[in-house]
Parts: sequence; structure tokens; C-alpha cells
Amino acid sequence: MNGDGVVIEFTLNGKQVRSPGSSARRVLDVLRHELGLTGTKDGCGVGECGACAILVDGEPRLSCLLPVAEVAGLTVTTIESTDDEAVERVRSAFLQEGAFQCGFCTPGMILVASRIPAGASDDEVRAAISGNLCRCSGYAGIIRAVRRAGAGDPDAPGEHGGSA
Amino acid sequence: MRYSRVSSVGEALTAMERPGAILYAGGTDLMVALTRDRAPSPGELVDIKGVQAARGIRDDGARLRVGALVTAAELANDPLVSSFASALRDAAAATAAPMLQARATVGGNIATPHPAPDVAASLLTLSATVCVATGPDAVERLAVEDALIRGGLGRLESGGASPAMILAVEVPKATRSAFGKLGTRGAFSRSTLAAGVSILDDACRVVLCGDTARPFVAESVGAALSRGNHLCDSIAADLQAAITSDGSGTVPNRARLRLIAGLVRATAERAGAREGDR
Amino acid sequence: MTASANPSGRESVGRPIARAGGSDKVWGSSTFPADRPGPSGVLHAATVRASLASARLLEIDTAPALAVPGVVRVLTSADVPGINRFGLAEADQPVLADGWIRGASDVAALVIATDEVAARAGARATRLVLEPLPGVYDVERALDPDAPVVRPDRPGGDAHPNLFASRSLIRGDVDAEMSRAHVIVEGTYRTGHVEHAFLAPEAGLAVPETDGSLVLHVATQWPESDLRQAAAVLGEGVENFAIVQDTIGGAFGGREDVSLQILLLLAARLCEAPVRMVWDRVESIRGHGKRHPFVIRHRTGADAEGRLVAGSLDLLIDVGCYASTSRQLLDNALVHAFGPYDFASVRAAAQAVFTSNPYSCAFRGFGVNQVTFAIEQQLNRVAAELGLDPARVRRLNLPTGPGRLASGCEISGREGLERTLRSADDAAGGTSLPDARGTVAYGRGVASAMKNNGFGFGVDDAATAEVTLCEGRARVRIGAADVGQGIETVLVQIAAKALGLAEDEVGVEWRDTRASPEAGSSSASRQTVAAGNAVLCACEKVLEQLSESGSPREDQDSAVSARCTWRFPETVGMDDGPGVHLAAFGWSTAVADVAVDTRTGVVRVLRVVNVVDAGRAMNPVLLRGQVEGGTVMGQGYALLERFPCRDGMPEVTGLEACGVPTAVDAVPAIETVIVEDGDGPGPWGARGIGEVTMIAVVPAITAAIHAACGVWINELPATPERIISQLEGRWERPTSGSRNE
Repeated sequence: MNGDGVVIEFTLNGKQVRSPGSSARRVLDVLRHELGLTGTKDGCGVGECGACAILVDGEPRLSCLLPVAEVAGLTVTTIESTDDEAVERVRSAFLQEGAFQCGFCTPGMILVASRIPAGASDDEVRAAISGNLCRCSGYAGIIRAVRRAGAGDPDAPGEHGGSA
Repeated sequence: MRYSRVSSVGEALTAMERPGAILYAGGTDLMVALTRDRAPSPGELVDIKGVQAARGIRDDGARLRVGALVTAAELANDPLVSSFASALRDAAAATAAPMLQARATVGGNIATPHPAPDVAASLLTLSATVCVATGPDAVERLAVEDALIRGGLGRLESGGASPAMILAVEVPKATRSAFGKLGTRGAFSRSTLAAGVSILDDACRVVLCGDTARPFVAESVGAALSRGNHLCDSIAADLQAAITSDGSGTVPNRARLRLIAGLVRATAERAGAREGDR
Repeated sequence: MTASANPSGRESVGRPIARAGGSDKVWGSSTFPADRPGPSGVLHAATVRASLASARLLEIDTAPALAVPGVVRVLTSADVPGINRFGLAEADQPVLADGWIRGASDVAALVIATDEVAARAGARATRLVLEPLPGVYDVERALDPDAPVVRPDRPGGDAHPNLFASRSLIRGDVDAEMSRAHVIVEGTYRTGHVEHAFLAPEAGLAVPETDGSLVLHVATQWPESDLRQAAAVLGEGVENFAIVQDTIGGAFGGREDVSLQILLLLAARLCEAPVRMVWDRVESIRGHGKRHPFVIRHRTGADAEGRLVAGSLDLLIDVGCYASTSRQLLDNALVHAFGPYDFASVRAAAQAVFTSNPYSCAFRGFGVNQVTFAIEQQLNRVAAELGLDPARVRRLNLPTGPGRLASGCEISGREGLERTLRSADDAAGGTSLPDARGTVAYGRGVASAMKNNGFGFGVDDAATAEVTLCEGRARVRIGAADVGQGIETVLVQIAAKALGLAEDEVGVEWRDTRASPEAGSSSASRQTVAAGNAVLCACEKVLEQLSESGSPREDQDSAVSARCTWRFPETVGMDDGPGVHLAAFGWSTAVADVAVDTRTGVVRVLRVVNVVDAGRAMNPVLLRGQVEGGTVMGQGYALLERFPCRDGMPEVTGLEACGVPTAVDAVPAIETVIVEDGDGPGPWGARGIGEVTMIAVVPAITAAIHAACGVWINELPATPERIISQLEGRWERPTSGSRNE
């Protein structure tokens, strides 16, 4: 791992974790390979697709462009998080709207969408997720899901509600 | 690869003396170079985000002082920049997508050889000056065009004979300016063509970007725009001159000239220019 | 809960039940191939690729790679135990290059190491000695007498060595009809390469089992085909190999050809260890095929009322460096080339040629997008020349009842297209466009599309399902790849309805080739039909067995199991003359509203009404997702997406440069209209719609551009540069339509 002897500590989904690898290692690699959280996806490695998005102190960030040293002492939220209400609201809206197909963009998309202020216009939603590519959905279902999540009632039956 | 933080210009310049050390701010270009272009890893990333002297946007009377560490997102949302440097605001707001805007810095856009230095081109439009620290208390001032040439050669921030770090840009206040671009798509796109226009006392300054290695001031286009003249011929002339002095690029065909003219006019309209001919 | 006590199960089909595995996807717990770390002792592979697309490969110096700590082995073509060739339709691609580099996707060597970093370092250290060879990079020069021979390894004949496949057809007296035409519209249309841009780059893990077999964890559209190709390369029986599908991160045709599957199996066999490989985006873009570039020349004659009297067509298709399915694609394109419309006479010649460009492969639409763009643009131009409503011109030339396409393929049910036209009128009417403001002009365009379901052309196109009913639960086994389109969910619904169960009483197992029978490829809009019918048939057999045994279902203790293979109706190859070349078709009509800035050439698509004849909507949410996704992919193809190459090498390394649409680009208003005529070939009259959803969108947008600013787009994508260039031309010369006076 070619560590530089520096152990980086940060809070990940509410738990304190340590990364003993190189402090310049990408957060994406630390999450996926050191900590075994593979919900954060590696779609391009250069910030062009958004599949690796995480929240750092609540702000959407590209984990493929972030050395782990930069999150030392900070709070990192990934798609595996169970304790972030906004993430949870968007997650259930995605399920209810069927806002995903292959699911590869979905973790990053949900995390970024979770920080869109309630009441944002569709144009604002589009701009906010413009760094998250989806090749399957045409984004329409994603926008509907964000709208639904922003409406604040995650359990309301959807236009196509119901589940198996 | 090691990672270290510095909190002053002096520390940054000292760190640069260490073998393999490279200044690191937003990382949006550097991390890409390491990952995609498989550039050799530097020995050490020197994180300069804690250098206070390179932070913040300040009203200095006749000019705005924009710290090198100011991000595109900060520029896009700053009321001073909106009022007095809207070309810079436009360029920042059209930079990539929100997560990159949150990281990409002014200094990085100038210092890194970049195929589409929109922020730098908007600064050129606004006749900005780049302040480069060459010692703890030594600051050298450069015109943006000179900084771009030196940045393009990798002589700013890293690898140069003597250590230097971009501290800030000084932007003369301009109430009428705009920046427009065309890319491969409507958002999150490198510009394939970009134009900056700033208007002062009915004189237009036009910067073009996309057909030459670096953005340049298109003097006769600015003059033609000021006089309300047809643009295509002056664009061709300015591009020819820029290409000759630059040694790279190709003079575009008629359709591209018309496209450039269209973008310049649309941008000029936003900047508040007078109506031109068609 | 017992089956018959749950009436809701019978309503399963047509309901928006949640996607199978959806919860895992929103929690990030689905396993994509790159998410598998591999067992302890896993080795990592990295490819060595050449810097040229056309070269002699004189030498591979593996010593520097072997000197990298952690590198355990470097595989070259000499290590291939069987036949060093693979290919989806014809085995003509080397697994590891043996003396020549013919295209950007070629792999020269495979470095195996104890960790990924070492493998990549070894790959970089491997030295290739190359001698550049002239290549063919312009498809329109491929058949020049002095063009370099792209594939000297293939058997020669009388034809030009770069001609891979050709076909011509003639019906009626085109010259005579053309001379009687009131209007003749000529057009040359060009389309380029497009990257699939599925979001998950290729990855996989091959694991040796204790019984000597190899199991490959991967994401693929057609696992059994991959294994058959791999078996020949490894010189073993196919029974020695299995695929276990991980979650598939999009496909769109780009996972139908083998990418890293054989390399992984080869490495695991030779190293007798588990081997993992993950491609990054740069390699993904290099490593799989692209949409076929076409050059299409049309001459279309119509009478004064708009009846099509003569069609003359030349198709030139860029195969790239390897065959893949280009022979099949040529035929598919030709069958669709005149659309569903009646022509009094037609003449067509199609040629697919080798070039040194990236190999072309299946991509949502399989050759139909290109020809539909061209013929619909021709029809809209005919309508414009005659001052007629374009939808009326379509109706006028659209026969009903059984008949033949202009290409000769027997077909019935073309009134399906009429239904989509009518629904499009209903949905789009009532709203009007804004008036032009400043330099922005608005326009509305209409276009239609047809697309086959199933492979056709004489292929035995089958799917097999095995259904077991036990204690009120059904287990469905069928190897239909769920690439994201949701076939797993649809099959659950089909079985639930057929057996009278609730969806959560049905489990579909599709991932493991050892357990699930072959369903064929998830391509050609075929799985709802083929896999769906196979599952329905197996369910019916189960019910038959139950009724024969006389035991009421509620008390069924022991398992009842049945297997069924469903086949598309028989088709004939084009070599066999006219007949049923393609067994079934789907229909769509799209209406697009656009805003064109005539100063900058920027086109914004304001709204698309996309009317799709689904036959029967199996799941409205999944269906809507297909239509919306297809609409934006069509929009990308029409306006944004490009794949520039230089000397056969991709000039792009990322998705931004390919112009993949973002949320800001995507049409803000997509109105999905589903027509359910119930006469499709699938269960309860369903049709496959995966491809047809994007095809009509492209010519609808180009027609709208014409309506807005008067230019006829003849090259995709319709970039600002091209629009301004066309406007420039329009200012200087009249349109190319001509009239016989």
C-alpha cells in the first residue's frame, strides 16, 4: 500500500474509522478497498461521472479527486449511511419513483440529490445533478424522485405507487 | 506520495524546495492527471488551502482582489463578482458541474496547462493582473496573458527554477462584461469555443478561446464590435495574427467564423453592448 | 399464502411493481463486478495495448514487466492453448495479438500480478516493438483501388479485399418511376461512431473451482455466447466454464461482444489461481466496439399527392477492424432502410467495409437508427417540397394488413404505426410553439420508426425457462440478463400472473449459467418476448401437470417442475430471397419541439412526445423508464454525441468529450404515450420496446430543426458548427430538392 506512516482518522457514517494507507490515497480507494464499502462507485476516476460522490461534512464531493488526508477529522457520509434523514428521504423517493435502472449511478445520485434544498425548481435540480451522469433513465425519473423527496412526505403513495 | 499542509506563503515556497513536491489546491486537474493520464506521481502534495493570504474576495476600490484559492463556486455566488466582474462570474458558473466548482480554484485555472481555461480567459477579458509570490514578502505582478504563457510552461506553482505561488488576481472593476461558451453539450463541458466581452466607455475588449493554444485578445474584433461593424473579417484577421504569433492552430472556415461572430454578439449583448449588424 | 387465495397475483402484469433488486441498488449493496475483491490469493490482470491502430507487432519484450515486483506472469499469444480467435458472429479477433495490431481494441499482452498496482506497472513496462502499417480511416476511401488492405488475414476473392459484406435488391422499374415522379429528393446522410457509455466499466473475476472448472463473475448480455467463444480459445469443452452474472451496470449493446471475459478465463486457467481485472474508463472506451458509422445516399421520388414511387439507396457501413455482428447489422439496416412505407419501386445497394477504425458492434437500434434518420428525413423533405403535412404523407404511404416492406420482408400489422401517429397527433396537438424571439426560432418535427424484435434472418432464436412450483412458491430459472431494463421484474410478473401468485411468491434466477437455461442475448428487443414467452409456456406446463394429477394447488406439497423452450416464428435469410426476414416489429412516433439559436447554432429540445406501441405494457414504471431513457439517448445521438478518432485511435478518453447528455441537456419535458394494441408477439400481446424508444426521436429532432430555421440536417450529431454551416449554405444556394416539370 506504500503507506507514508500517517494514519488518517475520520467519521464514516457515524463511526470513527482509520485509514493506515497513504495519506494521498483517494478517498474512493480507501472506502472501496480498505474499508470494504463498495456502494461508492468508480465510473471514470476523473470527476466526469459523479458515481463516486460522497458527502464530506454534508457537502457533495467527488471521492475520486479527494486525497484521504483532506477528510481527516471530518464526517463522511456514503450511500451505506443509515442515519442521514435527507439521504433516507431521497432513497425512498428513488424506490417509489423507480428512478433508476442499472443502478450504477444511483448511490452518487442519491447523495447529491439529498443536498438539494426543498422547493428547488426543476432547473435547479438539473443543475445540481449535472455532474452525475445517468445513461439509462433520461433523468426524468430522477427529477421526479427529487421533487417527491422535496415534498417532504416519503411515504406518500406515488403516481405509480405500490411495491411487490 | 506524501501529503502535507502549509498555512503561509513562506511555508509553501519552502515546501517547494523539497524534491518531488508540488502545490496542491483543488486537485481537479492534478488528480485527473495522476489517474487518467497516468502522470508520474509527485513525491509530495503540498496542500495550500490553509494559506490565508490566498483566500477571499476583497473590494480594493478600483479593483477586486480575488484570492488564488477562491473556488469557482465562490465566484459564481459572490455579489461583488456579479456586480463588477460578471464575465468572471459567467465563466465560473459554467465551469464543469457543482462538485468540481466547489473545488476548482482561480489559481489552478491559471497555473495548470488546460485545454479550456475559461476562468483565465474571463480574467484576460477583464484585463486582470496576476500576483505571484516569489518569496515570503516578494510579489511579482504579471498580466494574465504572461501568466498563462508561464503557467502553460509549468513555471508557476511547480517545477520552475525558482519557487513561485499564485497569490491572487486583481480585477479592475467593470460593470459591463460577459463570458459565453459552446461545448460538447449544454452543461459540464469543456468549451470548444468561448468568448469574453467587456465594455468600457463604449470600447469593447474581446477575448477568443478555442482556435488557438491560449485565449487571446482579439483587438480588431473589439474595434469592429465597438463600431457596430461586421465581425467575420476581423475575426479571421485576429485569428490569423494570433496563430502566426502562437505557432499553432488553424484559421477556421467561413461557418466557424460566423459561429464565433454569433457567440461574440450574443456575449456582447449580455455584456450590454450596442446592437450590431447582422 | 396459497396461490389461489391471492387474486391480486393475477393482476401482476400491467402493474407498476417495484424493480427486483431495487432496494440493493438504492443502498449501494448490489454487487457489480468491480465490487468483488476476490478470494485471498487473487491475482490481478492488466492489459498491454499498442499505441497504434494499424501495425506489425514485431516483438513483445516482457522482461521489464517481469522485473516489476509483484508481477508473476505475462501472457502473450503463444500462451493461448486453443484457437486464438473470438467474435460474436465470426471468430476473427485475436485474444492476444499475434503479429499484427488491427485496431484500437487489440490486446498485445496480459500482465498478471499479485496486486493491481503492480499489474498496471507491469503493463506500462512491457515494451512493444511496432512497425506502423498504413490503415484505412475514412470509410468512403475503403474501397479505393489503392486502399491499404485492412484484413489480409481473411480469405481473398474477386471483390475488393476491404469489402466485408454486401447486398443489393431491386424491385420494379426505378428509372421509369423516377422519371414520372413529381418531386425527387436527394440526400446524403452521414452518422458517426458513438460510445455506449454504460456507467459501469468492464470488470470481472475468474475463479478456479475444485472440480477443475472455471467460474467467471462478470456482467454480460449473453453469457452462453461468451463461454462458447472462450471454450474454443482455451481448447476445452464449454462445460468446463460457467458465468455468474453480477449486477450489470448498463449495456445498450456494448456488452454483447466479449471484452475481458476470455482474458480472465485464460489467465485463471494458466495461473491456476483466481484472477481479477477492472478496466478504467479510458480502457473501457478503447476496449469495446462503437455504433456503426453510415453513409447513406437516398434518391426518393414521389407523385404530386405524396405517394412514394421510387426509392434509390446506397448504404456504406463502417465495420471497423473486426466483423462482430456487422454482417447481420447490414441486413437489419437494409430491411428497415425504406421504413414501413410502400414504394412503387426500389433499388438498394449496401456495402459493409473494413477500416482500421474501432470495430463497430451492436448498439441500441442495431443499424436501424441510422437508416431511419435518413428515410424519415427524406419523407419530411418530400412533404416539405409538396407542401403537405408530414404525418399525412406517412399515412398515405403506410399500407395496412399483410404485405411486404419495400425491402421485401413479409410483414403484417403496420397499422401499429398508424396508431402511434394518431396518438402523437392527439398528444402533441393542443399546444403551440412560442413565436420566434430575437435570434431564437422554434420548430416542431414529427418522425416515426419501426424496429424488429428478435434476430430473424433464419437464426434459431430461442429462450428456455424452467419453472418449479413448490408449496405455493415458484422458482423461475432462465438466463436472461437483466442489464437494467428490468427483465427480471417482468418475468416475475409474467410468472405471477400465469400461476396466480403474488410477486413475492416468485423468484427469478438468471445469474448462473450452471443453474439457468439459456435465454439468448439481452438484445434485439427480444427478452420480454422470448424469455417472457418461455416463462409463460413453462408456467402453463406446470399448471397442466397439476390439473392432470388432479391435486388442488393449495395442497401441493411436492414440487412440480416444467421446462419450455420458446422460439420466434421461423425466419429466412436474405440469401433465400423474399420471405419473413424478421419475425416481429415494434412501432413508435415521436414529436419534438426545439428552439434553435440561429446565431450560435445551439439547439435546445423543449419537449418530446414519444409514442411507443408496447403491445401490452407489462410494467408501466419500467416501460416509462425505457421510453425516457431512449428519448434522451436519441437526443444525444441527434445533437451531442461524437467519437472522434485519429488514425483509428480514439481521441477521447472520457464521457464528457463523447458528449453524453447531462441532466441539464436532457429534454425537460418527455411525454410518454403508450399504445397497447395487444397484438405483439410476447406474452399477452407484449412487444419488445428497448430500442424503438430512441429511434424516431432522432429524425423528429432534425425535422424540428428544419421547421425552426429551414435547414435539413444531413450529418449527426447536429452540432452548432453544422447548423451554422448549413445556415451559411442556405444563405448562399437553394435547397437540393428538384422537380420534374
